[in-house]
Amino acid sequence: MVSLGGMGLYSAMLVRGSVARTSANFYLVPGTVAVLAWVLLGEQPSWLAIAGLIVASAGCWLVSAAPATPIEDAHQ
Amino acid sequence: MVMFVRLAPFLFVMLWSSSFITGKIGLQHLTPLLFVAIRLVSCAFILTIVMFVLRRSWQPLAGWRWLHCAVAGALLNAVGLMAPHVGLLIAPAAHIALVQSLTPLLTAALGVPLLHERLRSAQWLGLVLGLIGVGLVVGEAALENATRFQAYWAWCPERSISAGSAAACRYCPAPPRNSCRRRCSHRSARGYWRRRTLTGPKQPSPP
Repeated sequence: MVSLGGMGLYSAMLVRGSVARTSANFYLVPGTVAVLAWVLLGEQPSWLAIAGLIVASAGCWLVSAAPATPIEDAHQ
Repeated sequence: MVMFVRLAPFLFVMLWSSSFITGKIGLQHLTPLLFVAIRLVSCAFILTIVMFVLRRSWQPLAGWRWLHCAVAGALLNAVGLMAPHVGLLIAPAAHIALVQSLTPLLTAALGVPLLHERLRSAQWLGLVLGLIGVGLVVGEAALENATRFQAYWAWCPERSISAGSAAACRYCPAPPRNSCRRRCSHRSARGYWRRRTLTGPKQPSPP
């Protein structure tokens, strides 16, 4: 379900939206997993882990959201 | 259709996130590698049937292209899925999801020395934030559990392999829309493939 449904939805979103916007959804995953694992598996995250999740997700978003630099430009 | 467009991101995040939860539950009954094998073989079987039912052309995989895409797909999906499933045995699901989401960050960092790419200042800030975030989570794990700490470090080269394998897609000159390019754009190759295929000046614009 995840491999087929997840990739299918991802492909559909890529067709209808931008890559950056679609990729940004991945950064919601760790936080969502933390909430689901807390509710369904009883894995209570520590405050330090929550802070780490937020900071790292913000970092990933910054790296991916910045406009891409074409490789040719990098050689100039 | 409008409803689908609005709900798709929410459904995607929930579905993707639930894989870590279901993986954790499934690993109570199966070994990690058997779990991954069953998952991927099932996908291959279903997708092959879909290809025949929809009568899609296999022509884009003609010649040796299928082998390049197969190698890239095996490294990205099989190798890329093995480590998180092993990791789920000894670390909380949220920690594994966090480390997995850092792959584009690693790819961007590796792109500087290997592909001579430049990062913008915002991206460098993102790299630093990502490292700080991982440092908080992994550092805490190191303090409370040495075995879990080792599992995180074992993960790092594995993710690098996944990121490096994305480059194999480069050798698929005309990647089929729903396989190679999309697989590469997902996870590790997001930044790399976006530059190469979607915004690269020598590549045709995506339809």
